[in-house]
Amino acid sequence: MSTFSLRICLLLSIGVLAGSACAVPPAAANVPSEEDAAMAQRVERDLGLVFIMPPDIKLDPGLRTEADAIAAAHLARMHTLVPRWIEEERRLQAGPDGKAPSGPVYYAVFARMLNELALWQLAPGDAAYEKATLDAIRATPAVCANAGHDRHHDFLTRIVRVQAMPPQERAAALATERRLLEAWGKPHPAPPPWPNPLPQEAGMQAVVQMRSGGARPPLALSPVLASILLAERERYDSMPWPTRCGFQRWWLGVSLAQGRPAAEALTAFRYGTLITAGERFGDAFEREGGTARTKPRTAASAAPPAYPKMAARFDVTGVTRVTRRFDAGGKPVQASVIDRCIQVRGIRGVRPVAFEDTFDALAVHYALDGASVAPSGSGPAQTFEMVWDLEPATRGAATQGGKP
Amino acid sequence: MKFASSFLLSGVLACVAAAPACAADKPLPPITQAAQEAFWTGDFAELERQNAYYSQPGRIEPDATSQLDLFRGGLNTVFSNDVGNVEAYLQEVDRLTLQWATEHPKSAFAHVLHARALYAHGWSYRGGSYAKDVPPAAWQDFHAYLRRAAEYLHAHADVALTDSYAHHVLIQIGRGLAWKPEQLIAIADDGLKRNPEDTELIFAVAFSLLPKWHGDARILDSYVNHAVQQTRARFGTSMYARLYSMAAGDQYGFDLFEDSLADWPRMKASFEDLLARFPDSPHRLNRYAYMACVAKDRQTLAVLLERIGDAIHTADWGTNPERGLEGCRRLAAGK
Repeated sequence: MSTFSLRICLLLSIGVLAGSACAVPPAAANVPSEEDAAMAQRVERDLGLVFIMPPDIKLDPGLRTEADAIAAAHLARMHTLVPRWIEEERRLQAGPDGKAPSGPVYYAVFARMLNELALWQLAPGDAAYEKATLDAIRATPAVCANAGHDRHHDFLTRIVRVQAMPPQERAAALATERRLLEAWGKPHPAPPPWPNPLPQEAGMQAVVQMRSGGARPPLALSPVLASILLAERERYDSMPWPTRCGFQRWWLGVSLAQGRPAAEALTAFRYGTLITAGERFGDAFEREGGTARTKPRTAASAAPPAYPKMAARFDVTGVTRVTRRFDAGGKPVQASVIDRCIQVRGIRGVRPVAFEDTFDALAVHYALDGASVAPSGSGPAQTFEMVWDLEPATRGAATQGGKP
Repeated sequence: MKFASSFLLSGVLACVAAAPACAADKPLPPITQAAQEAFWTGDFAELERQNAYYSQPGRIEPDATSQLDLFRGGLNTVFSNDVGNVEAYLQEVDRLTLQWATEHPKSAFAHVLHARALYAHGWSYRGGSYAKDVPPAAWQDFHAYLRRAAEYLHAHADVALTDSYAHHVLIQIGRGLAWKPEQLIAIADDGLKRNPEDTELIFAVAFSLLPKWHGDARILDSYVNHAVQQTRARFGTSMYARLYSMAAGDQYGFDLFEDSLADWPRMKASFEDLLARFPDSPHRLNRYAYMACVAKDRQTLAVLLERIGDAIHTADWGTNPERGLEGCRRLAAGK
C-alpha cells in the first residue's frame, strides 16, 4: 500500500456573486448592533424551521403538544444563546481595527448551529432511551417518514420515533429529548468516530453481491429498495432521504442479525442518517449565480476537483484520507474515505461533524476517476490524503470556481 | 444584508423512489395509497393493522365499494410495479413476504401475502397479452408459480384460510390454473362464511366465469343469481346490476344484452335498489346511465343524464369513454 498527498487550494476568488442568495456585502465600517440582531434573527429563523412539527405528520395529539412545548423551550434558549455566539465571533474575528466583517461572522455562527444539530443527532441517551430508540427503528419503517420535509426534519423524525415507542416509554424518551437539547452550546463529549466502512458502503457492498447472485444478507429488502437497488440498479445516493433511511434500517437489522453490538449498530445508523451540512444544502451553493456544480470528471482527467462553494463559504478546510483498490489492470475499482480531519471557522472544541463529510464524495470520485491508473508499485490498494485548503483571500467568499 | 436561506429549500421525492403509482398517475384513493405506502416501505405491522381494520363489518364506501377492495388495490400496485429487472424485484418481494410469514406464523394475512406474491410472480411470465401471444415456456413458469402459490396456501391452510383474502387469492390462482367453476364458487362461498362483506370474492368468481376465461353466459347467469341470493340481506338485489355491469366492462360491452343472459328490466330495478341504498354515488349513477345506453333504453338514459347534470364521471362510460358518452347523448336526444 502506498500513500501520496494531494493539496487542493482555492487560489483565487474570482468574484463575489452580486445579488445571489448568499451574497455578502463588504464589512461595514461600524457594525451597528441592529445588524447583529438581524443576523441572530436569521439564524434563529432557520433553526426554527427545524423545530416546526408540520401538520401533515401524523402524531398523537398529546405527543404533538409535548413536542411543540419542547421546541418552544429550545428556541427560547437559543434566542439567548445565538446573540452570545455572534458576539463571541465578532470578538474572535476582529481585525487590527477591532472590527469583524459580518459575512464570515454570520457563517461561523451558522456553522456552529449546524454542528449543534449534527452533534444532537449523534448523541446517545441513557440505556433505556437507547434500547427504546433501537427497538422503534427496527420495528417501525415509518420512523423514516418525513412527509417530504427534507433537510430540516431533524426534530420531527425524533418525535416520530418517540411515537413508535410503547406509550409507557414515551415520557422517559421525551425527558431525554429535553436533556439532549439543553446540552446545546455546552462542552460536548467527543462524538463517536465515523463508522469505517460507512453503513451505506457496507450495505451497498451486500447489494452488489445480491445483484450478482452471491451471498445474501439474512433480511430481504423492502419493495421500494428492491425496486431501486436491485431492479433499477440505482446508486445509494440517488435515493431521497426517507428511502436512504429505509436502507439504513435494513442494514441495521442485518448488522444486528450478524451479531454486531447494538450500540455500534445504532451509531452506524445515526451516522448513516445524519443530516450534514452537505445534505442540508444539497447543491444550492453550487447552483447560485447560474454556475453548475463541477461535472464528473472523465477517467482521463487527472485534475483535482474544484473546491466546493459551500466549503469555501463556511471556510471548511482539512484533510481526507482515501483508500482505493485496483483491478489487475491498475484501474481503481473501489474507493472510500477512511479518515477525516476537518476544521470549520466558528466550531471550536469539538469535531465539526456537520462538515466532516464535505469532501467525501469529491474525494471518492477523484480516487476512482480523477487519477485513473495506479502509480507504479502501488500494489492492489493505495491510501492517500487530500488536503483541502483555502487561500486567505478566499475564505468565506463566494467564488465561481478555482484552480488546482 | 442577505444570508443563505437554503434551509428553506424542500426536497422533492424523485419519482423512482415514490410509490409505484407515480406522480403523473391519477391520485389513488386514500385507503389504497396508505396500503401501498405501508407495503412499499416494508411496514408489515401497519399492513396487518389495516387488513384487520378493513375486514371489519360495515367498512363500505358511500358508493358501495368495499374498503377491503381499496386496501387490496394498494397491495396490487406494489406487486405489479412496472420496473426494469422485474425478476430481481419479484424475487425480493417473494423473499420479503416469506420472511414476514416466517416471523409471524400465526398471521393469516402474512401467509396470504406470500401466496399473492408468488401469484404475481407467475403473472409476470404470462403478461397481460392474449393467450395466443404467450410463449410456451412462459406458460410453464406461469403455471409453476401459480401451483407454488396454491401449495403454499394448502400447506398453511389452517391459519391462512381464517382470512377471506386467502379465498380471494385462491380464486385468482384457480382462474389461472383453469379450476372448475364449481370449485371457484365453493371457495368463494367458504370465504363469505369467514367474511360476509368480502364481496370481492363474488366479483373474482364472476370474472372467472366470463367466456374469455372458463365460463359461458349460462354459468355466469347462474352464479349471478346465486350471488344475489347470497347477498340479499346486506345489499338487496344490487349485486345483479354490479355483476352484469362488470361483465359488460370486462367482456360483453355493448353486446351485453345480446350475448349474455343479462335482463335489462331486472338490471334497471337492481340499479334503483343500489342507488336507494347508496344514494351519494355519482359513479354508480353514471354507470347506471351507461348501462341504460347499452340497453338502448332511451327514456331511462335521458332521465339519468338529466339527473347527472354536470357530475359526469367519464371513466364509467365504457372503454372509449368520451366517444361512448358522446354516442349515448346522441341516443338520448333521439339523433
